[in-house]
Amino acid sequence: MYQYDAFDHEILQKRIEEFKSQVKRRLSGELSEEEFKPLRLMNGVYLQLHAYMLRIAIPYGTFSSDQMRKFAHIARKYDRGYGHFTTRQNIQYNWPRLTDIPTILEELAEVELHAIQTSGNCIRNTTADQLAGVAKHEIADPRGYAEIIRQWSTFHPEFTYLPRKFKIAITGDTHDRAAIRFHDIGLEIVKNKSQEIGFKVLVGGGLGRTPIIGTVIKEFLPEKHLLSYLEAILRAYNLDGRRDNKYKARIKILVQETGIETYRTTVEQEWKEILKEGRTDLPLNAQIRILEHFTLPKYSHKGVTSYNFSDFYAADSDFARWINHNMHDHKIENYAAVTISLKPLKGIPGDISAEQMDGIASLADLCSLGEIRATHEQNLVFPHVFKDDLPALWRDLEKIGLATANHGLISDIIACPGLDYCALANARSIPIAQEIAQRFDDPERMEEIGELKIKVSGCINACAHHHVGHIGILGVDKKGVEAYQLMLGGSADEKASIGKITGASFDAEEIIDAVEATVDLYLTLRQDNERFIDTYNRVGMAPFKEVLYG
Amino acid sequence: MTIAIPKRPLRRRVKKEKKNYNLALTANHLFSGKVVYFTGSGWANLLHDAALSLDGDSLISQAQNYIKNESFVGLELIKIDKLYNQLIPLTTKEKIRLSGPSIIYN
Amino acid sequence: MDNFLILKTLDKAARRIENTEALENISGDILSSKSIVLNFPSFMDGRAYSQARRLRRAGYKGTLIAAGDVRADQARQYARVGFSAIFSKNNFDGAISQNDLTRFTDHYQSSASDEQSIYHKRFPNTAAKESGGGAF
Ligand code: SF4
Repeated sequence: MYQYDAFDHEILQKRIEEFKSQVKRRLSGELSEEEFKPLRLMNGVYLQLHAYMLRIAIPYGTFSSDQMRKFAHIARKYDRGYGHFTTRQNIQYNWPRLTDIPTILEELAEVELHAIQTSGNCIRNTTADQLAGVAKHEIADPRGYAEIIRQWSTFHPEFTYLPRKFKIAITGDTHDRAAIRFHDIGLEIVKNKSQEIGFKVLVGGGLGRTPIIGTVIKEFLPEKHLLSYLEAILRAYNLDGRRDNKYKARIKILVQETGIETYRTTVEQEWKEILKEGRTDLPLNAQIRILEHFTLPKYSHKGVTSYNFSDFYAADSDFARWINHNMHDHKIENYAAVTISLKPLKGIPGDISAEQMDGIASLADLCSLGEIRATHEQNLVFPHVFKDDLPALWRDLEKIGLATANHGLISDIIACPGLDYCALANARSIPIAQEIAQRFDDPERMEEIGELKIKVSGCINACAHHHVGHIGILGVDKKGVEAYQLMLGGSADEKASIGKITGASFDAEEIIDAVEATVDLYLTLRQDNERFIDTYNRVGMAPFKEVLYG
Repeated sequence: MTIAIPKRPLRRRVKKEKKNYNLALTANHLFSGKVVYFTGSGWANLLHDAALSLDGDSLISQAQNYIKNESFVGLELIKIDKLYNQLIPLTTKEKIRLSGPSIIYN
Repeated sequence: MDNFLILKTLDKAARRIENTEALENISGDILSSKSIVLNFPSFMDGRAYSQARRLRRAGYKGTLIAAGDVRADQARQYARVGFSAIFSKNNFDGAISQNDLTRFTDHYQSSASDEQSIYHKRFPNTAAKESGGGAF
């Protein structure tokens, strides 16, 4: 994991000082709300439906047990005892007082965490594959590069008032778990013929009002030129991106309107100029120093318990089910990564109580080398578990209600806060997710259905990525009544696709039935071991329309 | 005070828009972020204490006297229904805003 | 950043450049102007930051003035992309902007003035030119 040096600490301290002074000036009336709002937004402080909301970045989704304990502490001391993991590897608190926020930030800084640029029209938290560094077939760990981007983008003076927010995602694996095709910039680590590391750069992907799959702007960008190329993309966007209409201000619209060829030419031209100056790319030693933080840890295992993984797996079918769904292959023999689902039955997707956070922190110390990952699917991952520790881990997770064996299944639903918390929402998302999970609450049935990704957003902003759910649900406002559109066929991975709307919207009760009808039809149509998305791709929308609307 | 939010459908609650609705003025307290309602002579946590008026502009202008240093933010007029002497916001959004998230963390 | 100016009046001869100009090519005429005014129609409209950046890169040596909806809490950003002055008719809080200018001693980006970025300081032997980050 990355560890701050004196410079990083200093910058964070100064930022807190600055924000403190801004809050103070606001409270005294020296700053008007109009002046203060953009300043607080730059630090992840929103005013939501009920109260302030504070969003804290978990850079590229990697954090430590100590940081988790701090999250628990903040939940208890300054909030209502829980936190919410988002789809962008952030954690949100729903009830902080503005007057407490500077103190919260001080507490966070003690464990190298911050809320910098978690909102506003700037470069946001760079997200990464949750299995970064341990995925079996990974080309290289993307997190070092994400950290390089984090540093470079932190308070970048030129790119703090972009036309719109700007999100970057990075993966080091060809199987895309980071949804890089739906980010303003997506980076995939690749190797060229001479086995040199570089990036395939995608630009102009996104969801929201106009969902678009990112286009490749550069097939191979040499590793050392990462920042100069990003700078070129950002500069061209800052100058040419639309500012007349909020909904057309993302880079995806610029790329669509100018065409990728023209945009590429502009970027390449600017890039040449930047290279001539030679002041943007990191000197090699500086780059190495950052990347060094992400070398594989030492796996010298001391065994927590004396279980034998295979024996336990054979003996306990519940454990076996959890392993089948939640465990992931690891680079190192006898090790595994495992998803800790934050989607227990009746739970709120992504929510976790302070007690559970503390529990997770202790377990991470015990059997994941103190390291935890947050996923864009609102789950957690233990990246370094010795396989023989899995039975004990599973039992302990059960005790804190976090051993749900549903990763990738129909009840592993992504849901945004929706109308229960969010000021922008049209409709509630959480209760819909809960009811769907309830409806399919039978392990055998879930298993029968297999991989199925449902994503529920409360409005067109698509925080829950509903366009790329195998089944997507979008809350709309129908003359003051909550209603839901159904979408089928979306996918966020390397076979990216955008879901299509089935037809007229449903009310809150009907939508649950509609999902069930859709799933039941899939089960009758599927061939062999097809997943829902495969069947949909084969048969198309028509039969589903038929069963939904007759 | 909490008002039970019907589990669904919410359709029954929503009536056809009449021309004249009672309006209340809501805001958030700058320091705490708490939801408050304008009473005519200050701010209260309970909608029950809210001043109602058909004239939203006058509510807003009255409220100006009680917003020293903009210590109440996010001012918004909301439509209010009276049901058995209880004040009930018309929209689902404001109902949830009044009584908290409809789901409880367990 | 010591000589960063807060102007109450504008030199009539100062050359105005609208923020719709991307300044991909910069004429010698522009480069020889004594002072140039770039506009922030709203402080949220950040195009002039990139314009300033391009002007300085092209070798512009004159006074570069940020005008329009400029704000004290943004002073550091103006200075770091190459502005040398702010013009504001409003009650501009010079103390705040001074704080803002001097608050951070170190940056993850090198800037228009010749200071060194953090990357350089992490490795004292690196030439300034290679300091990396490149806000300028
Ligand atoms: S999708 Fe809409 S309702 Fe959901 S969190 Fe985002 S903005 Fe709020």
